[in-house]
Amino acid sequence: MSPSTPAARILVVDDQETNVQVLGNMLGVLGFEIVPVTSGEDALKRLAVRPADLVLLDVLMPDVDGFEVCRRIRAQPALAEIPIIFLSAADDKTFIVRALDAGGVDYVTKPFNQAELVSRVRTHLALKQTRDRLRNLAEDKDELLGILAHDLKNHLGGMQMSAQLLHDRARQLEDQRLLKISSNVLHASDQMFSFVKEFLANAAADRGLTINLTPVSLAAAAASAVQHHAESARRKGLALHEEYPRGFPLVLGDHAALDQVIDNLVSNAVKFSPPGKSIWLTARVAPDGRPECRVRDEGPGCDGSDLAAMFTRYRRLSARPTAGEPSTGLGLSIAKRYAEAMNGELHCESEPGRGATFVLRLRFPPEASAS
Amino acid sequence: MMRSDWGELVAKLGEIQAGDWVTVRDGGAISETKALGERLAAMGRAAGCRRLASYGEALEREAQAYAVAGIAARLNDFPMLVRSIAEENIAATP
Repeated sequence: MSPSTPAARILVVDDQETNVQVLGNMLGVLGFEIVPVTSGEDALKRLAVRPADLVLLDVLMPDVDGFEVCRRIRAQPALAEIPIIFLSAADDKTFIVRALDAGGVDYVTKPFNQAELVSRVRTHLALKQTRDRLRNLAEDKDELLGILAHDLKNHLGGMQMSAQLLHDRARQLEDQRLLKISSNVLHASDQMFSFVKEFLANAAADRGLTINLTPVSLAAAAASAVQHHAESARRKGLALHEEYPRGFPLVLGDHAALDQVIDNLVSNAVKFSPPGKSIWLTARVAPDGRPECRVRDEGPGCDGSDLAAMFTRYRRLSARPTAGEPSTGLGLSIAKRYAEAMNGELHCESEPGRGATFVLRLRFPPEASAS
Repeated sequence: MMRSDWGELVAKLGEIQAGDWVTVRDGGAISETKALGERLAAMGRAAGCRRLASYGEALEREAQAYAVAGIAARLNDFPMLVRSIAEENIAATP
Protein backbone atom coordinates (compact mmCIF):
# COMPACT_ATOMS: atom_id res chain seq x y z
CA MET A 1 0.00 0.00 0.00
CA SER A 2 1.57 3.32 -0.98
CA PRO A 3 1.07 6.34 1.27
CA SER A 4 -0.89 8.11 -1.48
CA THR A 5 -3.55 5.40 -1.88
CA PRO A 6 -6.43 5.28 0.59
CA ALA A 7 -6.22 2.44 3.09
CA ALA A 8 -8.16 -0.66 2.07
CA ARG A 9 -11.34 -0.96 4.12
CA ILE A 10 -11.79 -4.33 5.80
CA LEU A 11 -15.04 -5.34 7.47
CA VAL A 12 -14.30 -7.77 10.31
CA VAL A 13 -17.34 -9.82 11.34
CA ASP A 14 -17.23 -12.14 14.35
CA ASP A 15 -19.73 -12.58 17.17
CA GLN A 16 -16.84 -12.89 19.65
CA GLU A 17 -15.54 -9.39 20.40
CA THR A 18 -12.16 -10.78 21.47
CA ASN A 19 -11.71 -12.27 17.97
CA VAL A 20 -12.61 -8.94 16.40
CA GLN A 21 -10.05 -7.27 18.64
CA VAL A 22 -7.31 -9.71 17.66
CA LEU A 23 -8.02 -9.27 13.95
CA GLY A 24 -8.44 -5.51 14.31
CA ASN A 25 -5.13 -5.07 16.09
CA MET A 26 -3.33 -7.36 13.68
CA LEU A 27 -4.59 -5.66 10.50
CA GLY A 28 -5.04 -2.12 11.86
CA VAL A 29 -1.35 -1.85 12.65
CA LEU A 30 -0.59 -2.66 8.99
CA GLY A 31 -2.51 0.42 7.91
CA PHE A 32 -5.82 -1.16 6.91
CA GLU A 33 -9.04 0.69 7.70
CA ILE A 34 -10.90 -1.65 10.05
CA VAL A 35 -14.67 -1.74 10.48
CA PRO A 36 -15.45 -4.20 13.28
CA VAL A 37 -18.92 -5.70 13.90
CA THR A 38 -20.20 -8.54 16.03
CA SER A 39 -23.25 -9.69 14.06
CA GLY A 40 -24.31 -10.48 10.53
CA GLU A 41 -27.08 -7.88 10.58
CA ASP A 42 -24.62 -5.17 11.62
CA ALA A 43 -22.26 -6.26 8.85
CA LEU A 44 -25.00 -5.77 6.25
CA LYS A 45 -25.91 -2.38 7.76
CA ARG A 46 -22.28 -1.22 7.59
CA LEU A 47 -21.96 -2.33 3.97
CA ALA A 48 -25.18 -0.52 3.04
CA VAL A 49 -23.61 2.72 4.29
CA ARG A 50 -20.26 2.19 2.61
CA PRO A 51 -18.90 -0.88 0.79
CA ALA A 52 -15.74 -2.52 2.07
CA ASP A 53 -12.79 -3.67 -0.01
CA LEU A 54 -12.76 -7.05 1.75
CA VAL A 55 -14.82 -8.89 4.36
CA LEU A 56 -13.43 -11.28 6.98
CA LEU A 57 -16.47 -13.29 7.98
CA ASP A 58 -17.01 -15.72 10.82
CA VAL A 59 -19.16 -18.72 9.89
CA LEU A 60 -20.93 -19.67 13.08
CA MET A 61 -22.84 -16.73 14.47
CA PRO A 62 -26.22 -16.54 16.20
CA ASP A 63 -29.18 -15.10 14.24
CA VAL A 64 -27.69 -14.69 10.77
CA ASP A 65 -24.75 -17.04 10.09
CA GLY A 66 -21.81 -16.31 7.81
CA PHE A 67 -23.19 -18.28 4.86
CA GLU A 68 -26.38 -16.24 4.87
CA VAL A 69 -24.49 -12.94 5.24
CA CYS A 70 -22.33 -13.95 2.28
CA ARG A 71 -25.37 -14.83 0.16
CA ARG A 72 -27.04 -11.52 0.99
CA ILE A 73 -23.90 -9.59 0.09
CA ARG A 74 -23.58 -11.46 -3.20
CA ALA A 75 -27.23 -10.74 -4.01
CA GLN A 76 -26.57 -7.00 -4.07
CA PRO A 77 -24.99 -5.91 -7.36
CA ALA A 78 -23.09 -3.04 -5.72
CA LEU A 79 -21.46 -5.41 -3.22
CA ALA A 80 -21.35 -8.62 -5.22
CA GLU A 81 -17.66 -8.43 -6.07
CA ILE A 82 -16.29 -7.75 -2.59
CA PRO A 83 -13.92 -10.60 -1.71
CA ILE A 84 -15.16 -12.50 1.34
CA ILE A 85 -12.75 -14.62 3.36
CA PHE A 86 -14.43 -17.00 5.79
CA LEU A 87 -12.85 -17.53 9.19
CA SER A 88 -13.97 -20.46 11.26
CA ALA A 89 -12.88 -22.90 13.91
CA ALA A 90 -14.70 -25.59 11.92
CA ASP A 91 -12.39 -27.28 9.43
CA ASP A 92 -15.05 -29.71 8.22
CA LYS A 93 -14.75 -30.01 4.43
CA THR A 94 -18.51 -29.62 3.96
CA PHE A 95 -18.28 -26.23 5.69
CA ILE A 96 -15.51 -25.16 3.36
CA VAL A 97 -17.51 -26.24 0.31
CA ARG A 98 -20.62 -24.45 1.61
CA ALA A 99 -18.58 -21.30 2.23
CA LEU A 100 -17.15 -21.31 -1.28
CA ASP A 101 -20.55 -22.16 -2.78
CA ALA A 102 -22.08 -19.22 -0.92
CA GLY A 103 -19.61 -16.92 -2.66
CA GLY A 104 -16.56 -16.87 -0.40
CA VAL A 105 -13.19 -16.52 -2.10
CA ASP A 106 -11.20 -18.21 0.66
CA TYR A 107 -11.57 -20.10 3.93
CA VAL A 108 -9.15 -19.83 6.85
CA THR A 109 -9.44 -22.04 9.92
CA LYS A 110 -9.02 -20.74 13.45
CA PRO A 111 -6.62 -20.57 15.17
CA PHE A 112 -4.96 -18.98 12.17
CA ASN A 113 -1.38 -18.16 11.38
CA GLN A 114 -1.09 -14.36 11.30
CA ALA A 115 1.39 -14.18 8.45
CA GLU A 116 -0.73 -16.55 6.35
CA LEU A 117 -3.92 -14.59 6.97
CA VAL A 118 -2.25 -11.27 6.15
CA SER A 119 -0.85 -12.79 2.97
CA ARG A 120 -4.29 -14.06 1.91
CA VAL A 121 -5.88 -10.69 2.71
CA ARG A 122 -3.25 -8.89 0.62
CA THR A 123 -3.63 -11.32 -2.27
CA HIS A 124 -7.42 -10.92 -2.46
CA LEU A 125 -7.18 -7.15 -2.11
CA ALA A 126 -4.64 -7.05 -4.94
CA LEU A 127 -6.91 -9.19 -7.12
CA LYS A 128 -9.85 -6.91 -6.40
CA GLN A 129 -7.81 -3.80 -7.18
CA THR A 130 -6.74 -5.33 -10.49
CA ARG A 131 -10.35 -6.26 -11.33
CA ASP A 132 -11.54 -2.75 -10.43
CA ARG A 133 -8.79 -1.18 -12.52
CA LEU A 134 -9.65 -3.37 -15.50
CA ARG A 135 -13.33 -2.53 -15.18
CA ASN A 136 -12.55 1.19 -15.03
CA LEU A 137 -10.31 0.91 -18.07
CA ALA A 138 -13.00 -0.96 -19.98
CA GLU A 139 -15.58 1.66 -19.01
CA ASP A 140 -13.27 4.50 -20.08
CA LYS A 141 -12.55 2.72 -23.36
CA ASP A 142 -16.27 2.16 -24.03
CA GLU A 143 -17.04 5.78 -23.24
CA LEU A 144 -14.29 7.04 -25.54
CA LEU A 145 -15.27 4.71 -28.36
CA GLY A 146 -18.91 5.69 -27.89
CA ILE A 147 -18.03 9.38 -28.24
CA LEU A 148 -15.89 8.66 -31.30
CA ALA A 149 -18.61 6.53 -32.86
CA HIS A 150 -21.26 9.23 -32.30
CA ASP A 151 -19.02 11.87 -33.87
CA LEU A 152 -18.11 9.55 -36.71
CA LYS A 153 -21.79 8.82 -37.35
CA ASN A 154 -22.53 12.52 -37.82
CA HIS A 155 -19.62 13.00 -40.23
CA LEU A 156 -20.53 9.85 -42.13
CA GLY A 157 -24.08 11.11 -42.54
CA GLY A 158 -22.70 14.25 -44.18
CA MET A 159 -20.30 12.23 -46.31
CA GLN A 160 -23.10 9.95 -47.52
CA MET A 161 -25.26 12.90 -48.48
CA SER A 162 -22.42 14.56 -50.42
CA ALA A 163 -21.52 11.28 -52.14
CA GLN A 164 -25.15 10.79 -53.14
CA LEU A 165 -25.29 14.31 -54.62
CA LEU A 166 -22.07 13.64 -56.50
CA HIS A 167 -23.44 10.32 -57.70
CA ASP A 168 -26.68 11.93 -58.95
CA ARG A 169 -24.66 14.61 -60.72
CA ALA A 170 -22.40 12.01 -62.35
CA ARG A 171 -25.47 10.18 -63.60
CA GLN A 172 -26.89 13.39 -65.10
CA LEU A 173 -23.55 14.12 -66.79
CA GLU A 174 -23.18 10.47 -67.81
CA ASP A 175 -19.63 10.66 -66.48
CA GLN A 176 -18.76 6.98 -66.04
CA ARG A 177 -15.50 7.61 -64.21
CA LEU A 178 -17.14 9.96 -61.68
CA LEU A 179 -20.05 7.54 -61.39
CA LYS A 180 -17.68 4.74 -60.43
CA ILE A 181 -15.77 6.86 -57.94
CA SER A 182 -18.94 8.20 -56.32
CA SER A 183 -20.34 4.64 -56.15
CA ASN A 184 -17.22 3.53 -54.32
CA VAL A 185 -17.50 6.41 -51.87
CA LEU A 186 -21.20 5.66 -51.31
CA HIS A 187 -20.56 1.97 -50.78
CA ALA A 188 -17.67 2.57 -48.38
CA SER A 189 -19.57 5.18 -46.38
CA ASP A 190 -22.62 2.86 -46.25
CA GLN A 191 -20.45 0.13 -44.79
CA MET A 192 -18.87 2.46 -42.26
CA PHE A 193 -22.24 3.91 -41.32
CA SER A 194 -23.69 0.46 -40.84
CA PHE A 195 -20.75 -0.61 -38.69
CA VAL A 196 -20.96 2.51 -36.52
CA LYS A 197 -24.72 2.05 -36.03
CA GLU A 198 -24.27 -1.57 -34.98
CA PHE A 199 -21.31 -0.67 -32.78
CA LEU A 200 -23.47 1.89 -30.96
CA ALA A 201 -26.34 -0.61 -30.58
CA ASN A 202 -23.87 -3.14 -29.22
CA ALA A 203 -22.44 -0.60 -26.76
CA ALA A 204 -25.98 0.24 -25.63
CA ALA A 205 -26.66 -3.46 -25.05
CA ASP A 206 -23.39 -3.77 -23.08
CA ARG A 207 -24.32 -0.87 -20.82
CA GLY A 208 -27.39 -2.81 -19.75
CA LEU A 209 -30.63 -3.03 -21.64
CA THR A 210 -33.58 -1.02 -20.48
CA ILE A 211 -36.43 -3.33 -21.27
CA ASN A 212 -40.04 -2.42 -20.65
CA LEU A 213 -42.09 -5.58 -21.12
CA THR A 214 -45.59 -4.85 -22.36
CA PRO A 215 -48.00 -6.56 -24.77
CA VAL A 216 -46.63 -5.81 -28.26
CA SER A 217 -47.51 -6.86 -31.78
CA LEU A 218 -45.22 -9.24 -33.65
CA ALA A 219 -47.04 -8.37 -36.88
CA ALA A 220 -46.35 -4.66 -36.42
CA ALA A 221 -42.65 -5.27 -35.74
CA ALA A 222 -42.42 -7.54 -38.78
CA ALA A 223 -44.26 -5.03 -40.99
CA SER A 224 -41.86 -2.31 -39.88
CA ALA A 225 -38.83 -4.50 -40.70
CA VAL A 226 -40.27 -5.44 -44.09
CA GLN A 227 -40.91 -1.81 -44.91
CA HIS A 228 -37.38 -0.88 -43.80
CA HIS A 229 -35.75 -3.50 -46.03
CA ALA A 230 -38.19 -3.40 -48.96
CA GLU A 231 -35.89 -1.27 -51.13
CA SER A 232 -32.73 -3.34 -50.55
CA ALA A 233 -34.76 -6.53 -51.17
CA ARG A 234 -36.22 -5.09 -54.37
CA ARG A 235 -32.73 -4.20 -55.64
CA LYS A 236 -31.71 -7.84 -55.22
CA GLY A 237 -34.96 -9.16 -56.67
CA LEU A 238 -35.95 -10.77 -53.37
CA ALA A 239 -39.57 -11.39 -52.44
CA LEU A 240 -40.51 -10.67 -48.83
CA HIS A 241 -43.53 -12.65 -47.59
CA GLU A 242 -45.34 -12.04 -44.30
CA GLU A 243 -47.61 -14.79 -43.05
CA TYR A 244 -49.37 -13.97 -39.83
CA PRO A 245 -52.55 -15.74 -38.74
CA ARG A 246 -55.38 -13.23 -38.51
CA GLY A 247 -55.81 -12.01 -34.96
CA PHE A 248 -52.49 -13.39 -33.75
CA PRO A 249 -52.35 -12.35 -30.06
CA LEU A 250 -50.01 -9.73 -28.68
CA VAL A 251 -46.78 -11.03 -27.15
CA LEU A 252 -44.79 -9.90 -24.13
CA GLY A 253 -41.90 -7.77 -25.33
CA ASP A 254 -40.30 -4.37 -25.55
CA HIS A 255 -41.29 -2.28 -28.57
CA ALA A 256 -37.81 -1.02 -29.43
CA ALA A 257 -36.06 -4.31 -28.65
CA LEU A 258 -38.54 -6.38 -30.68
CA ASP A 259 -38.22 -3.99 -33.64
CA GLN A 260 -34.43 -4.26 -33.41
CA VAL A 261 -34.44 -8.09 -33.24
CA ILE A 262 -36.75 -8.59 -36.22
CA ASP A 263 -35.05 -5.82 -38.19
CA ASN A 264 -31.65 -7.48 -37.64
CA LEU A 265 -33.02 -10.88 -38.70
CA VAL A 266 -34.60 -9.50 -41.87
CA SER A 267 -31.46 -7.48 -42.64
CA ASN A 268 -29.41 -10.67 -42.25
CA ALA A 269 -31.73 -12.64 -44.52
CA VAL A 270 -31.63 -9.93 -47.20
CA LYS A 271 -27.83 -9.73 -47.07
CA PHE A 272 -27.21 -13.45 -47.40
CA SER A 273 -29.93 -14.33 -49.92
CA PRO A 274 -28.90 -14.75 -53.55
CA PRO A 275 -30.90 -12.61 -56.02
CA GLY A 276 -34.36 -13.83 -56.98
CA LYS A 277 -35.06 -15.83 -53.83
CA SER A 278 -37.72 -15.41 -51.15
CA ILE A 279 -37.75 -14.55 -47.47
CA TRP A 280 -40.67 -15.53 -45.23
CA LEU A 281 -41.70 -13.95 -41.94
CA THR A 282 -44.20 -16.11 -40.11
CA ALA A 283 -45.76 -16.28 -36.68
CA ARG A 284 -47.27 -19.24 -34.90
CA VAL A 285 -47.83 -20.69 -31.45
CA ALA A 286 -45.06 -23.22 -30.81
CA PRO A 287 -45.84 -26.68 -29.40
CA ASP A 288 -44.76 -25.45 -25.94
CA GLY A 289 -47.50 -22.78 -26.12
CA ARG A 290 -45.14 -19.86 -26.65
CA PRO A 291 -45.43 -17.35 -29.50
CA GLU A 292 -42.82 -17.78 -32.16
CA CYS A 293 -41.63 -15.61 -35.03
CA ARG A 294 -39.63 -17.30 -37.81
CA VAL A 295 -37.53 -15.58 -40.44
CA ARG A 296 -36.66 -18.06 -43.20
CA ASP A 297 -34.37 -17.44 -46.15
CA GLU A 298 -33.09 -19.40 -49.13
CA GLY A 299 -29.48 -18.41 -48.64
CA PRO A 300 -26.44 -20.70 -48.48
CA GLY A 301 -27.31 -22.03 -45.03
CA CYS A 302 -24.76 -22.83 -42.34
CA ASP A 303 -22.74 -25.77 -41.13
CA GLY A 304 -22.25 -26.79 -37.51
CA SER A 305 -19.28 -24.51 -36.86
CA ASP A 306 -21.16 -21.50 -38.23
CA LEU A 307 -24.18 -22.37 -36.09
CA ALA A 308 -21.99 -22.61 -32.99
CA ALA A 309 -20.40 -19.20 -33.58
CA MET A 310 -23.42 -17.47 -35.06
CA PHE A 311 -24.32 -15.29 -32.07
CA THR A 312 -20.77 -14.47 -31.04
CA ARG A 313 -19.82 -10.83 -31.40
CA TYR A 314 -17.67 -9.80 -34.35
CA ARG A 315 -17.70 -13.40 -35.62
CA ARG A 316 -18.03 -13.51 -39.38
CA LEU A 317 -19.47 -16.68 -40.84
CA SER A 318 -18.33 -18.61 -43.88
CA ALA A 319 -21.15 -17.16 -46.04
CA ARG A 320 -20.63 -13.65 -47.41
CA PRO A 321 -23.29 -11.04 -48.21
CA THR A 322 -24.34 -11.69 -51.77
CA ALA A 323 -24.24 -8.07 -52.97
CA GLY A 324 -21.23 -6.87 -50.99
CA GLU A 325 -23.41 -5.44 -48.22
CA PRO A 326 -21.62 -4.46 -45.00
CA SER A 327 -21.50 -7.12 -42.32
CA THR A 328 -20.06 -6.27 -38.94
CA GLY A 329 -20.68 -9.53 -37.12
CA LEU A 330 -22.68 -7.69 -34.46
CA GLY A 331 -26.29 -7.84 -35.67
CA LEU A 332 -27.10 -11.40 -34.58
CA SER A 333 -25.37 -11.10 -31.21
CA ILE A 334 -27.36 -7.93 -30.52
CA ALA A 335 -30.57 -9.68 -31.58
CA LYS A 336 -29.88 -12.59 -29.24
CA ARG A 337 -29.14 -10.35 -26.27
CA TYR A 338 -32.33 -8.37 -26.86
CA ALA A 339 -34.34 -11.60 -27.23
CA GLU A 340 -33.00 -12.92 -23.92
CA ALA A 341 -33.59 -9.58 -22.21
CA MET A 342 -37.28 -10.02 -23.17
CA ASN A 343 -37.23 -13.45 -21.45
CA GLY A 344 -37.20 -15.03 -24.86
CA GLU A 345 -34.77 -17.02 -26.94
CA LEU A 346 -33.34 -16.90 -30.43
CA HIS A 347 -31.82 -19.77 -32.33
CA CYS A 348 -31.05 -20.76 -35.89
CA GLU A 349 -32.01 -23.92 -37.74
CA SER A 350 -30.00 -24.53 -40.88
CA GLU A 351 -28.13 -26.94 -43.08
CA PRO A 352 -25.58 -26.06 -45.74
CA GLY A 353 -27.27 -25.26 -49.03
CA ARG A 354 -30.78 -25.30 -47.56
CA GLY A 355 -31.25 -21.79 -46.27
CA ALA A 356 -31.59 -20.72 -42.66
CA THR A 357 -34.52 -20.20 -40.32
CA PHE A 358 -34.14 -17.91 -37.33
CA VAL A 359 -36.63 -18.67 -34.59
CA LEU A 360 -37.50 -15.99 -32.04
CA ARG A 361 -39.54 -17.42 -29.21
CA LEU A 362 -41.12 -15.04 -26.69
CA ARG A 363 -43.90 -15.31 -24.13
CA PHE A 364 -47.52 -14.29 -24.05
CA PRO A 365 -48.55 -11.68 -21.47
CA PRO A 366 -49.70 -13.40 -18.23
CA GLU A 367 -53.40 -12.71 -18.81
CA ALA A 368 -53.22 -14.08 -22.35
CA SER A 369 -51.49 -17.26 -21.10
CA ALA A 370 -54.19 -17.70 -18.46
CA SER A 371 -56.96 -17.33 -21.00
CA MET B 1 -12.11 29.12 26.15
CA MET B 2 -13.97 30.17 29.26
CA ARG B 3 -17.22 28.69 30.43
CA SER B 4 -18.91 31.81 29.08
CA ASP B 5 -17.82 30.67 25.60
CA TRP B 6 -19.72 27.38 25.75
CA GLY B 7 -22.28 28.79 23.36
CA GLU B 8 -19.68 28.39 20.64
CA LEU B 9 -18.83 24.89 21.89
CA VAL B 10 -22.49 23.85 21.86
CA ALA B 11 -22.85 25.13 18.29
CA LYS B 12 -19.79 23.12 17.19
CA LEU B 13 -21.10 20.02 18.95
CA GLY B 14 -24.41 20.49 17.11
CA GLU B 15 -22.56 20.53 13.82
CA ILE B 16 -20.64 17.39 14.76
CA GLN B 17 -23.85 15.65 15.80
CA ALA B 18 -25.37 16.42 12.40
CA GLY B 19 -22.27 15.41 10.43
CA ASP B 20 -19.24 13.47 11.68
CA TRP B 21 -21.09 11.68 14.48
CA VAL B 22 -23.60 10.22 11.99
CA THR B 23 -20.76 9.18 9.65
CA VAL B 24 -18.88 7.46 12.48
CA ARG B 25 -21.98 5.84 14.01
CA ASP B 26 -23.21 4.42 10.68
CA GLY B 27 -19.87 3.73 9.00
CA GLY B 28 -18.15 2.15 12.00
CA ALA B 29 -14.57 2.70 10.83
CA ILE B 30 -12.12 2.55 13.72
CA SER B 31 -9.84 5.33 12.42
CA GLU B 32 -12.80 7.72 12.08
CA THR B 33 -14.07 6.78 15.53
CA LYS B 34 -10.65 7.39 17.01
CA ALA B 35 -10.33 10.72 15.20
CA LEU B 36 -13.72 11.82 16.52
CA GLY B 37 -12.72 10.83 20.04
CA GLU B 38 -9.47 12.81 19.77
CA ARG B 39 -11.26 15.84 18.40
CA LEU B 40 -13.93 15.85 21.12
CA ALA B 41 -11.32 15.36 23.84
CA ALA B 42 -9.32 18.31 22.50
CA MET B 43 -12.44 20.48 22.28
CA GLY B 44 -13.43 19.53 25.82
CA ARG B 45 -10.00 20.38 27.18
CA ALA B 46 -9.88 23.69 25.28
CA ALA B 47 -13.34 24.69 26.54
CA GLY B 48 -12.75 23.50 30.07
CA CYS B 49 -15.57 21.00 29.66
CA ARG B 50 -14.44 18.01 31.67
CA ARG B 51 -17.35 15.78 30.65
CA LEU B 52 -16.69 16.29 26.95
CA ALA B 53 -12.96 15.69 27.38
CA SER B 54 -13.63 12.47 29.30
CA TYR B 55 -16.14 11.37 26.70
CA GLY B 56 -13.67 11.94 23.88
CA GLU B 57 -10.84 10.16 25.71
CA ALA B 58 -13.08 7.17 26.46
CA LEU B 59 -14.22 6.94 22.83
CA GLU B 60 -10.61 7.09 21.67
CA ARG B 61 -9.61 4.31 24.12
CA GLU B 62 -12.49 2.11 23.01
CA ALA B 63 -11.62 2.63 19.36
CA GLN B 64 -8.00 1.72 20.01
CA ALA B 65 -9.16 -1.46 21.74
CA TYR B 66 -11.69 -2.37 18.99
CA ALA B 67 -14.33 -2.54 21.73
CA VAL B 68 -17.36 -2.85 19.47
CA ALA B 69 -20.10 -2.83 22.13
CA GLY B 70 -18.41 -0.04 24.08
CA ILE B 71 -18.06 2.16 20.98
CA ALA B 72 -21.72 1.65 20.02
CA ALA B 73 -22.93 2.52 23.52
CA ARG B 74 -20.60 5.53 23.75
CA LEU B 75 -21.73 6.89 20.38
CA ASN B 76 -25.38 6.45 21.31
CA ASP B 77 -24.76 8.59 24.40
CA PHE B 78 -23.46 11.51 22.33
CA PRO B 79 -26.76 13.34 21.66
CA MET B 80 -27.58 13.19 25.38
CA LEU B 81 -24.15 14.60 26.22
CA VAL B 82 -24.60 17.48 23.77
CA ARG B 83 -28.06 18.23 25.18
CA SER B 84 -26.83 18.26 28.75
CA ILE B 85 -23.89 20.55 27.89
CA ALA B 86 -26.32 22.87 26.09
CA GLU B 87 -28.66 22.90 29.11
CA GLU B 88 -25.76 23.56 31.46
CA ASN B 89 -24.74 26.48 29.24
CA ILE B 90 -28.27 27.95 29.34
CA ALA B 91 -28.42 27.52 33.11
CA ALA B 92 -25.05 29.28 33.53
CA THR B 93 -26.01 32.21 31.29
CA PRO B 94 -26.77 35.29 33.50
